[in-house]
Amino acid sequence: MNSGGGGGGPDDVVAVAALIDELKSEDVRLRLNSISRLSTIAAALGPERTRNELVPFLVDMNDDDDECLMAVAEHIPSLVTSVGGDEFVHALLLPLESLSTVEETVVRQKAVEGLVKVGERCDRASAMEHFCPLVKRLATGEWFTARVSACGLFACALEKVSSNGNGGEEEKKMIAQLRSLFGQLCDDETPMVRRAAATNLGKVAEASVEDKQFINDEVLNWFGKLTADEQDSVRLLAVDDCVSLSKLVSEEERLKSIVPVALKFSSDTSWRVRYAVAQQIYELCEIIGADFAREDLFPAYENLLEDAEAEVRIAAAAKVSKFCALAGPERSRENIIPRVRELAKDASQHVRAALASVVMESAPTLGKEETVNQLLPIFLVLLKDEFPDVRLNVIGKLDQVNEVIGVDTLSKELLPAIKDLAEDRHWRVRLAIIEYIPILATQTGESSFLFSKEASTSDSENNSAEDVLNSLCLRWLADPVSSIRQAAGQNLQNLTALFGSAWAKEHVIPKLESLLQTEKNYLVRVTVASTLGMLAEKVDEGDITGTLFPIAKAAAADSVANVRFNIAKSLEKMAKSVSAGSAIRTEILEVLDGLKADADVDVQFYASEARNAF
Amino acid sequence: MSKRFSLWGNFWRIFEPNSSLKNNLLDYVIRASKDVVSSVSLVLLVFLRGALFCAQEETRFVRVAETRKTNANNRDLNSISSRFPVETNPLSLSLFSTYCYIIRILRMASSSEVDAWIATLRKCEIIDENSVKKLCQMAVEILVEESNVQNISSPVTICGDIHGQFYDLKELFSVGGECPDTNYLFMGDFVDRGFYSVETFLLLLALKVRYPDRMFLIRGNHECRQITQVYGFYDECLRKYGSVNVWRYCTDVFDYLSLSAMIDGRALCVHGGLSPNITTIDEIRAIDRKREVPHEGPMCDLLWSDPEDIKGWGLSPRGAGYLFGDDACKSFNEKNALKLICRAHQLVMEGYKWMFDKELVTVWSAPNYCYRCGNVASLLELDEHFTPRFKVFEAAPDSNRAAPGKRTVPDYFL
Amino acid sequence: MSNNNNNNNNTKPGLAKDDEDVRVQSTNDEATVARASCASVGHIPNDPYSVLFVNRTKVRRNEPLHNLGTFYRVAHVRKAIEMFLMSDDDDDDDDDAEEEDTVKYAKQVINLGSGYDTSWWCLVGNNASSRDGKEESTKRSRVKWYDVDFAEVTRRKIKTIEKHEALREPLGVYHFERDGSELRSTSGYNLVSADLRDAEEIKEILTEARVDWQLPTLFVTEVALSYLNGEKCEKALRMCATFNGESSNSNNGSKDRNTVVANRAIVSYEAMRLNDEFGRRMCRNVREQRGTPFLALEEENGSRVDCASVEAMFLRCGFDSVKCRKMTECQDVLLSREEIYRAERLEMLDEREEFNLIQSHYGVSVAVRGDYFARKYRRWLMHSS
Repeated sequence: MNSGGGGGGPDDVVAVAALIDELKSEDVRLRLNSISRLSTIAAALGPERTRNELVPFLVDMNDDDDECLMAVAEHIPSLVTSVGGDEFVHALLLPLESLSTVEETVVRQKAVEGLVKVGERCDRASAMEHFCPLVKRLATGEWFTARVSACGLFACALEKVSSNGNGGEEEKKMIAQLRSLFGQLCDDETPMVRRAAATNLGKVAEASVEDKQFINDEVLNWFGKLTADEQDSVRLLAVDDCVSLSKLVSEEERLKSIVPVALKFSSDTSWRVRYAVAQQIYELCEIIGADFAREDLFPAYENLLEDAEAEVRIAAAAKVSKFCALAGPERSRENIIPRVRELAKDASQHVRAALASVVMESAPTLGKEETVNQLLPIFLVLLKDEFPDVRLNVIGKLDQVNEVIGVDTLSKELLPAIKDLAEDRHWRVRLAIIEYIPILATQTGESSFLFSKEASTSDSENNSAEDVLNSLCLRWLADPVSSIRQAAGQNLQNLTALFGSAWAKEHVIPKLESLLQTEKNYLVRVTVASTLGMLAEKVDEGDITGTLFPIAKAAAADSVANVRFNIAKSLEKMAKSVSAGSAIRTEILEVLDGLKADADVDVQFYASEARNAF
Repeated sequence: MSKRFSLWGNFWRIFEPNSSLKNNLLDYVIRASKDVVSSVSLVLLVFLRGALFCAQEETRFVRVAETRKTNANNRDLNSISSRFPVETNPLSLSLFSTYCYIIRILRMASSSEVDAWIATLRKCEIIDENSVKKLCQMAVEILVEESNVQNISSPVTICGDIHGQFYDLKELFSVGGECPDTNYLFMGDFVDRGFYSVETFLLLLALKVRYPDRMFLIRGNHECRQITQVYGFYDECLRKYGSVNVWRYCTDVFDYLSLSAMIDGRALCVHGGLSPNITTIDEIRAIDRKREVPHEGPMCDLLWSDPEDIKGWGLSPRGAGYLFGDDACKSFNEKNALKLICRAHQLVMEGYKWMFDKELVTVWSAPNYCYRCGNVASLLELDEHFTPRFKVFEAAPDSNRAAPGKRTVPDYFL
Repeated sequence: MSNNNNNNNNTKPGLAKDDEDVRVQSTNDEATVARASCASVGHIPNDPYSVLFVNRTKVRRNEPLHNLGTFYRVAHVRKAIEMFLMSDDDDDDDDDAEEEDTVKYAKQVINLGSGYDTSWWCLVGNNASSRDGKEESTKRSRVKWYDVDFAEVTRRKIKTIEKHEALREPLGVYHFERDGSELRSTSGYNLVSADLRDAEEIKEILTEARVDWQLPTLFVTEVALSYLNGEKCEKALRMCATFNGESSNSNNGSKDRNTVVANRAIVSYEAMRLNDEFGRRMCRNVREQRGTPFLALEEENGSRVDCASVEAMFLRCGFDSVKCRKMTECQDVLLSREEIYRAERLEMLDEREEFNLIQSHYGVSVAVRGDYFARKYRRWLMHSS
């Protein structure tokens, strides 16, 4: 704007001339570069020359390269300010119009996006004068590509023309024309056009939301046609319209026109259609309400859970808990859970994985008793699934069950399974279990038999439980996988924070000491060395002085440098956890001073870092 | 040599504005060069290149220069004197120690910068071109000192091909432990084929610079200008940086990568395998490695050969290197008192494969190679008692990867 | 972390919302780019046509492994077609027997799911032009050729043909049918639009396009059957082996019909599952990343598990004799040592294991019905090469 008609200084002019030359270049890369800077060129040219020279050039730019065409389509909307404001934006419609009819789908899509952006900037008059005629031209285009593109523009055109209350006669006439054209496209002979119409039907309806008459009479009529299309790819897209239209019509119309279609779709011969229904049916039920859904849509959903096609079952299984919540405990128990039981044994691992990631969430709906009787057996099946993702998905949601069934049942029913999983072949499953332990510990508490030796009795079940947590938590420290060892250290820190210094001193620290002394693999000793520091942050100062520090001091002489520099890091944490000026801090710092003179560079480095912190 | 002199030139240019410092340095050079035999002048250059890095902090440099006789770590001295014939000349010794001290200081001073690069690269994000340039210069400083047969002591974790599979490298670290807690030797083929050669190689290189005693990298057949132009690294650099400078910096580093590693004098680690033209370890040491990988000859063979169930030597279907049999391997091991040859280079569906009565092992560390082979990968942990443990791992789950972009290479015949 | 996992699993199935056309075309584009790249390296010396079908920005040099694999694919399929097109000693006289106004075709090739394949131009079209000048000097018989694919693909193929003289010229006089999605030409080359998944539809459309069901006919598929599920695949193959042009409602009394079916054969380059990790991963990748699953391969006990199951399927569908060979095991059956040597030298493979792994999951099958083709492909059908 500020550059006026002249278009900037001489340098700019040269630069712009170069860019314009590049637009005509043989080299695709140069053209692309220049196209990406269209707005710079336009700003330098000024509005008038942009309209008179650049835009016509773009219209004529008969590039045979799709990538360039796509780039043009993408960048034209950025010129809206450069052509001289809203009054002139319609100038940009022309180049986009020709792009919206090309063969290459991605170019067309970008052009349509661009047209919508430009169309939104038009005022009503210019929409009437330029945008709507363009839509009409495309909608009646001979080549199907034009008609496909037209479908994406109706919503925008209708919104523009009908916005701000009633327009005049002209506007009304235009609206009627546009609607009738869209109706024709819904019935187009080319399936690609009908697909585009189905995709945009919801938007067109939304753009005319005030005109209930139109929606009830015409939109639903088109909807009916599209949903009965012979091509499954058209019907597939019409499934989405079920949800968007049901938001716009009355309850009566919903039950009359939409629910029957959804029902029909749910047993469509094409599994893609059924898959789409499985994804959308919950939302539809929500809009319609449980009372109405109960009769037809719930049974339809229940059938989808038993669909022959795995993809459909996957989509349906993912909604199980939401449906349970909507259907209530009784219907869930009667109709949904029995099917869930079958899904837990489904031949497709993806179905089981989808189920595993949501099924826990139905526990609150079912309540304690039903959860224990009905759901727990399913969890146990899934926890033993051969496919690790299924196991992982269940473990990730176990905490949601804890609250419903209570600690006692949990310990009795689930702990044996957890014990198995704690030694799972797949390390990510072990990791998930470790991450679950603190949650379990929070709920059960220290006094529970789970985490202390004394509490364990001669009862064999309890013995195994003690085994589970007390020794497993320590065994993980020597796991073959590094991430597990680290998580094990973190876990012990969390448990120490929960149960206190005395617990750690009794159950954990002796084990750490013996590992440092006897473990032959330095990687395990490295883990233990860093665990010492983590525990130091949670135990009493007395225990640092009495146990942790002496252990660390001994390990500072480890033969492997990696252990020594981890001790150095842990010593820093210890020194920070004890009171300033205490004798023990001095002692810690002395050990660090010793490590500063270590033969290994990295030990020197970490010891100096630690020492410098004080 | 010419490369070194060009660095020399850069060096003086940097110091131009401060002439007193320049004169000071000139004094050093003159005094040193008076006394010395040819090998010391080489050392001198190395020293000056070390000083180059100090340029950022001139004051520190002055201080360092003043106290140049400070103690150097003996091990560093040894490693340098192993490269240059031992000189009893006191001046050269003092230059050694000065050099070592400078390197030490530099490492300390630059560690936070390198740490920042490592943190960025660990997120699978690239660092800017200038940082790459600097990182590569620092890496060359370290790599140039390494022998063709880099001596490593156990414990160390040995890994095979990575091929730009960054998220699988992260998985490898999840299983094997992060550097520096775990010591690593990567046996080449860091780049090409995968989507993230840049991030993969730069991360490994940054770890090498930050922890030179904990991370060892040796050269694979893909660490080469010619191959990277065909198999993806060149294109990736161009795509991610818009210029080929980063590719140039990295391929220059490739020339300095060591050719092999010796663990505790008992296991020889090399990317490909043996060469009919090499019978002793010393013959590997004698190779002039600082060059593009040649199409034939001992250096090429080390990076390209494969073990095979044949007797003696055979032609390789790869068109470079040789096939070598059980007998060739065993006699080499016997002659050089080796227990094991550890190599990578060949896809093994099970992650690792023993051959020749456990005198040779192939370690492959790219799970689901090229995102399509369905294989598992492994790493070999040699603990401080030389006990080998293989850790087999799978490709990182999709949830741990960045959203898969549009495929840029065709994976199957469609 | 576990939450992330869960979210991912919900969106597991690979049904992207993008346009189905785009997906269908993308596999064809990929194959075309592969052929063009392969040709540009010099693997296929006589194919200047493939590159014309590739959008200029999409021209790409594939990695050597892919080029070499594509070479073996194209070389085998084209060699098999060429063997069919070479004149037959026994029916030479057939050719000159009648010289009438209408062109008399002696052979027929139908490429199902052809995409932008250029075999016709390479094998037939480039001879046609030279034939005009000289008299019938070539040793080839006149061949009727049908390339069949989705309308979206054939439309684009037509557009490209029209754009390039080199493609247009060999066609002679041509016109379009069915809303510009089909092409007929005096050269014998035809483009037909149909959906392979619907065998009944194909029968009708091919008949409408004047396929002569009595001629010795060679069907060709290159990674087309792999996308069909077992049932649809068998229907398509049954059509290839036994359909004789009669409307399908007289479906009983198949004995009679079989006797009138002329000689048929199919050359098919397709993927195989082998039930190993590579095969499983291939199914998953193609489904999730391409959105056009290898349905035939997804069946654990289906008909594309290995060579034996593929052969059994062809026999079930009405062929008399069949041999399926993995790409790793068929090199010198059709190709000469020189051809192989030349191809293997062109670019250096950095890796043999991976190449063999991929190649072993693709195979060429030749199945025949009737003596004519049994003689033609005797060498291939023999059980040891």
